[in-house]
Amino acid sequence: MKLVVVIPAYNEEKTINSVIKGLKSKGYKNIIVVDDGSKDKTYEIAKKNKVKVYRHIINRGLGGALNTGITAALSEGADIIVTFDADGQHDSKDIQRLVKEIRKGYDVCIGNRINKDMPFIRRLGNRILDLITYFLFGIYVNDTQSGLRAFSRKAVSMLNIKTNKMEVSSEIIYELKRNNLKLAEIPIKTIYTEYSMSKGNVNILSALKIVLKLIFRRIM
Amino acid sequence: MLTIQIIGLVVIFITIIIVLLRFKKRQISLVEFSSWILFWTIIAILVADPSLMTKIARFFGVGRGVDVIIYIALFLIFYLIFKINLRQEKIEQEITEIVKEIALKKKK
Repeated sequence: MKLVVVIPAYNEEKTINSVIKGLKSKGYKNIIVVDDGSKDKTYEIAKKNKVKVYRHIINRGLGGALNTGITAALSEGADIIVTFDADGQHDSKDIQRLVKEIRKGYDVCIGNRINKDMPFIRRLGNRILDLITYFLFGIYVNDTQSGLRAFSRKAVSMLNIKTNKMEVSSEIIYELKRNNLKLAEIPIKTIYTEYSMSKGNVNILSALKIVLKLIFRRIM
Repeated sequence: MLTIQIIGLVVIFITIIIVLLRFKKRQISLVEFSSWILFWTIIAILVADPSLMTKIARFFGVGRGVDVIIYIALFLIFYLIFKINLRQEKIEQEITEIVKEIALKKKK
């Protein structure tokens, strides 16, 4: 079974090198980096690591980058696709545990980062987005915004990703439900560094934007 | 007739001609065409006889004709903003699709 790791990256020159090296050291050979129009050296650094790098000519956001990476992985004949954040917040050891769920017959497995170690304000923000996802799409998932996910080929081919930015995470949840895909959730470790914390993903304003985009997605 | 009414009617007349021309060039659909014509005709009638507006206002229980216009205008603006937002979202998605295709093609 061919496993492909997709890493969407935007201005991650500080971490992309160690993320790729970490994955390689665990034996993951098929790595696809999607450089989402970074203004720093993300593209060059990724290239040096001899992984496949796809480059967006302009920045499109997480949704766009994931979509490109997934399409590329499918055309390379991936059987299992893992998405992995470029900011170094995931532990590559967790991949095996997610993949195991797919081998068991689940279509999708999402790594749940939410636990006592997560800073309170983040936990709150994430929970709110989980609830909004639930109200809009009718499915409750513990950590909708998690970047570490594993998909079977079948599942990924069914996803119809339209949104461009962070709202893609909730959109994926909606697509799971729409296609009646079997979802597993397992707790994963999150590495909180000063760097990954400073790249705050969910604040109130961005959460509001996500909600607005999701409402549009719902009616479009 | 007041000067402002005459100006208003001329502007509406020109607008209707523009709508007609756009329909002739098939830039707008029949539904769009008829709704615009209907809309501007109603506006023209109201401009020609402003007292009608006051009657409509009374009917809705609003004090003045001008108030009704403001309510309708506000509603229209909200609706248009909403529509523009939807359209923009669609364009964003299309741009992403193009960027994706370029990224995938370049690699090959």
